Amino acid sequence: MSLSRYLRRLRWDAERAAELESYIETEAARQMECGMSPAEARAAARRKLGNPTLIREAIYEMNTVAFLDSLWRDLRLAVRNLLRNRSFAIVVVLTLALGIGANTAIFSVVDGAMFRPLSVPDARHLVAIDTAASRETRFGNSSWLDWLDLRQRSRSFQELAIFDHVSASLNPAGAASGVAAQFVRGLMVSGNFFSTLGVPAGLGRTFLPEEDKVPGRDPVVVLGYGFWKNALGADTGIVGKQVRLNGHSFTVIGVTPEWFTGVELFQRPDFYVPVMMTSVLSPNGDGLLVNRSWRSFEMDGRLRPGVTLARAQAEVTVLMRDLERRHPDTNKNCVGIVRYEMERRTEGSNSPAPTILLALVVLVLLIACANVASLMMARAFSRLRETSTQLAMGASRLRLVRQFLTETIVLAVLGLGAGLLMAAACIREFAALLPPEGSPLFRIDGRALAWASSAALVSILFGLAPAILSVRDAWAAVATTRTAVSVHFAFSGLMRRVLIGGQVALSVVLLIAAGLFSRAFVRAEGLDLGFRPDHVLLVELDPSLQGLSPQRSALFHRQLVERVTAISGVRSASFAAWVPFVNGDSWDLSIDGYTTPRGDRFVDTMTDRVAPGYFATMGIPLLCGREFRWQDDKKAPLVAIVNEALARKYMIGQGSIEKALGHILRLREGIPIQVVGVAADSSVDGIGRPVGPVFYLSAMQMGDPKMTLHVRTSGDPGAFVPLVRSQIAALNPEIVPTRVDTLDHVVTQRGLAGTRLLAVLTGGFGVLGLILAIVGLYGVVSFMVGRRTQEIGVRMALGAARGRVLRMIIGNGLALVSAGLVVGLAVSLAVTRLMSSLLFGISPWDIATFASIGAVLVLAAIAASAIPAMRAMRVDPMTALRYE
Amino acid sequence: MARTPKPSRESELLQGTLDLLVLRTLAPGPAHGHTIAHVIETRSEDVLQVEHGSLYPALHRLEDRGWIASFWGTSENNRKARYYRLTAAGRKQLAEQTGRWEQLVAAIGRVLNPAAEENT
Repeated sequence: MSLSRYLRRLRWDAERAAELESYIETEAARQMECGMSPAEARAAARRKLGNPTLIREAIYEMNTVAFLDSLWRDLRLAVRNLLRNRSFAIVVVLTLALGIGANTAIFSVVDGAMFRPLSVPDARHLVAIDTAASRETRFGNSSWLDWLDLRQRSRSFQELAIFDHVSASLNPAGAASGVAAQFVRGLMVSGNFFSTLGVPAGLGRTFLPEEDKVPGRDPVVVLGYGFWKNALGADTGIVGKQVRLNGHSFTVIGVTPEWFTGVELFQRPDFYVPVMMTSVLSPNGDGLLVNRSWRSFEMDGRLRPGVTLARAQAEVTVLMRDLERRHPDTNKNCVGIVRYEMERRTEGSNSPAPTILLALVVLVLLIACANVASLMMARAFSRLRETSTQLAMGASRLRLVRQFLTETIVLAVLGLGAGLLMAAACIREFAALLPPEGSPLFRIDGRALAWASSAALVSILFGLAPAILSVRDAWAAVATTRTAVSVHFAFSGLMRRVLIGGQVALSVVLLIAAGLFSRAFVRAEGLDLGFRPDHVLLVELDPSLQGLSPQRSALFHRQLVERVTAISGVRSASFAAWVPFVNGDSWDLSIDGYTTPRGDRFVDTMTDRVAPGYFATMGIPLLCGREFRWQDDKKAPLVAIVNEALARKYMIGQGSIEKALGHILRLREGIPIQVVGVAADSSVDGIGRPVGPVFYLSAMQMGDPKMTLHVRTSGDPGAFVPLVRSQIAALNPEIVPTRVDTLDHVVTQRGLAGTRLLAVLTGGFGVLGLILAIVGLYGVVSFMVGRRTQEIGVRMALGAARGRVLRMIIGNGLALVSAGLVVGLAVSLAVTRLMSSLLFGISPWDIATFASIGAVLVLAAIAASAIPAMRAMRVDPMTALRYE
Repeated sequence: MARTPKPSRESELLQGTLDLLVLRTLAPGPAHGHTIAHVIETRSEDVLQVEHGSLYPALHRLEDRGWIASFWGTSENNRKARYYRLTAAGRKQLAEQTGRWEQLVAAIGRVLNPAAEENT
């Protein structure tokens, strides 16, 4: 049976009708020739043919795909039914849209931030190799020379590539001066970077192997798609043109494809250059290429087909041990660690937050589904008569269940559509809540669609129970008397109780999570950071982008601090390499007199390079010793300040803090650095986490050209921006800040954003769940009141006081809620422990939260049952008695 | 006319036969439904009483299988009628089915009349 004929079956039927008519005419003409009257002849012809309708039906059936046909009829009936009950349909679709939309949105965000592999072909064979990891700290970056050895000697990888982050000033107008240069962030990559990842050029070409052979020879650049599109207006003629990077001319050879978003979640590089051009891009010149201990590269590799991670790890271990033997000065204790690329990206964020969010949003979906199921049941009850009539007239029960199910499917599909629209809107809002600059690309992709569809599928499954139950009830109604039906309905009643109780329990869990997170947010805001974030202006400057030498850059920073300090209203000013919560790095450090329990000397330790006055400006108390002085420069002996955590962990234990002064620290180079001060602990990478060891070096001795000016002001720090800018311009008009911010803002954005996001989202879910549960409760109570109208009428006719009736109904509502409330509280007690790492010390069994959520639920239950109860009290006893 | 209600098993048995008869009737040239019915009746000297109504689903089925094709034409007495003709596939089918039918008849004959078989 061909589909085309199925679709044309109506036309076919008309043809057959005409053909049969022509038979009757021909046969009648023949009979008339034998002498019959026209009427008799026609009648005889008809007898001879048989019933034309049956013949046509037989042929029609032959043309029909029975399943498709009845599906189409079911669909039309479902749509008609839903159009007749528009308010019901709208409530159900909205409920589903809320559940599905919230799920899709959260899934897209969590997936984008956590679970999605790199957007490159065959990403599951990509591995990350850390080589500098001392055994104490495990993970770290790699050096160029180590990479050369590994790449040459390893057999486990198809390709092994490295990359390092760089920033530069880029002048798109080529050699033309006077056009403002842009500050761009990119990657310095080995020549095989793109081929390792399997990324072809979107435009032009990527690097050739020989473009990464000779230092400084090949000034070529590949532009990132986003930068090319946004900053260069998607100029397709860009390939072959020149741009200036830090004042040096580079030839654009290609643009990355749109789908390639870089190798990290939170940064999309503007440009890529070969490592061999490092002399132009980094202040250290070609040092990176000759020092085995300069470990700043990240290494990615692609496993050869059939090579397991364990085999690659075994080989890297052997190779690293050999390097350790041959280069003991630089590679002592260096091991190599091979992980899947995705593991490295997600290892830093082992926070349970994403999982918790996903779990909570699934709860929202379950509440929505339970709600829809009870709505469907109420509706099925109101259609009991209709359904029994259909059954009595011979419809099969299966057929009716299918009809109910078709309605559910129509609703679910509508809900899915609305939910996806909602999710798209939500995702845009999320992006605004997260820290700026290259947050992951959130979008509704195939994976999110699959998630949304499974959510819709769950809702359809929830619709199955009401369908089956109601048809069974209707069957009972046909088979027996109405009294017997109410027995069956007792079971459906139990089902509703379970549904509503479950809804309440789930919303209790949601609300308690929300309550705990909001309390945690308030707590986090009030936590002592160890520094004073108010009234501090931050201005990031990198004079090397304008070609200033490291010496002149240092001089520029020093002069700027002197000028800014002179501005009236400025309390103090200093500069530092890093800003807490924004950036930072860690170096291998050894402390004279300390070895790790495993016998290693070096520990990977957080560090910062700061100028005189830094601790005063940040408001970090100096416990003993002194701050850095301008005299602590290249000519003076190296000095360091450590935080209390470092001093206690590695030097003095519980002893007096002054004893830390005079201790000697060493970097890999081995030059002694004397401790001259101990600062109080202050947060560097997160609020509420225990502060680990940090050491500070003098920026005048170790400084990078890129520094952030810290200015403590007496008034609004934002008001000082023009004054500081004019001082910068007075010193060097070509140097422009690469970032201007206030410390307060940074702390809120970076330190509190995650907690705030959690509080806002779970709060939203909690309120959503509560509303759904109240709507569901209201529906069930009104339904029950409706069914008991007669009983209530009788009670009131017999003299029951209105207050008593009111109490009875509200009591029923409370009884419905209480079981759910108890279960919800119990479940919360069991699961909130999983959140404790995110609560900043708020107990996961916080009594205030549990009690207030309980109270909210009880009030909501009273409100939801009060309205139908009031309605019931207005029942006229006579009407109620005549009800049947 | 001695038309008895047919048990369903018999009609199943006859379905293939009716197809064969229709195909054979169309072998000389195109014909419309009415003609086909009458030709079958007269050729069999009224032994095979085709229920004219059942002819049309059969025609539809044959057309569906591609053994016959149909077109609207004008009948001998100037009426519009739907004509059927054999297709190449139909012609092949006719030959095959005729052969099979003859084998069947011969086989049944041998079973029913073993003596005749031995005598020859």
